[in-house]
Amino acid sequence: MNGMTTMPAMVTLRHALGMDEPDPVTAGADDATRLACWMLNAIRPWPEAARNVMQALLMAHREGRIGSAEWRNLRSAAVALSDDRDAEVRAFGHVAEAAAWPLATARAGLVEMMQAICQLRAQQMARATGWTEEDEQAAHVILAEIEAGDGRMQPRREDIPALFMAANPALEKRFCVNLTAANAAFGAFKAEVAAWIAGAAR
Amino acid sequence: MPNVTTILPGHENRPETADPVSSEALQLLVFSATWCGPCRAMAPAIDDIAQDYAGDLVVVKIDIETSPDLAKEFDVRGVPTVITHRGGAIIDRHVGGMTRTRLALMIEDALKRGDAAE
Repeated sequence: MNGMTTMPAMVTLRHALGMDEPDPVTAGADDATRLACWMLNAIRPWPEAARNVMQALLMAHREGRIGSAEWRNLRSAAVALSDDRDAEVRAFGHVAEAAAWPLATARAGLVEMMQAICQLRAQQMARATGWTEEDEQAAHVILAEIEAGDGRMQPRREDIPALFMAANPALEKRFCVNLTAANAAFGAFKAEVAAWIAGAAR
Repeated sequence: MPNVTTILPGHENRPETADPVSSEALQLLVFSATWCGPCRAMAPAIDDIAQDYAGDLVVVKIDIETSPDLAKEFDVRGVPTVITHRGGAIIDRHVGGMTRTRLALMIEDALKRGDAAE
């Protein structure tokens, strides 16, 4: 973020585009730090159970002055989230695990955060289509049975969709809707990150 | 310097001989395949872990397709499979992608067990 973004013309353009105000705390920070903070902010609202950890991670990256013991505490808190019983909290926990390292020593840091958020977005999209954990389990049971075949021969990969449809047409139809939407959401976040990087490089 | 060894096809350099002290050093065996998306996704985290634990850990990367005998020997049924291994004994294993945080926990646990055994 440079001084240009605080000029009145840029402020007006941001409003016209419905964009959030830039984070003044990360102004002047390196691209990796700004991108990490942007990614953590991009998944708001944070669930109540994850809020404190996500806020602490955001502050840790913004300020960049915490020590190894504090990073270790953040990792412990992140692991507790990703062991939660609630699937959405677990997905936020995976993001937190990825974010709980100082970027200066983490080649994997941003890639892991992006992948965890892609999965979070895919999961959120799947829920939005009405796909439930029970549906997921039912689909896994059917697919495992199909994969096992008749005990002598396994089906060809390309035959699996038709076999799924024969086993449970209603579930197969919803499975396809869910899969298409979730895959699109997964890929869309990657595209957002690429656009962010392209914008930062201009 | 991180200690990373890639097992070559035919595994002339087995995990035990990948490093002169590897029979005593803690090893992280990483079984993967070129077509495996989660393996590729986890690769940067593996490199970070190799750097973080450079003095305590030997990372051994094994392609299941070019080293099928090793995969069979370690009962690898899916990729990625990550195994902590020391002195010919398996300490722990995990099948599926892992974050750097989970990998670090696995290594810390294996190192603690090693300290306790000494």
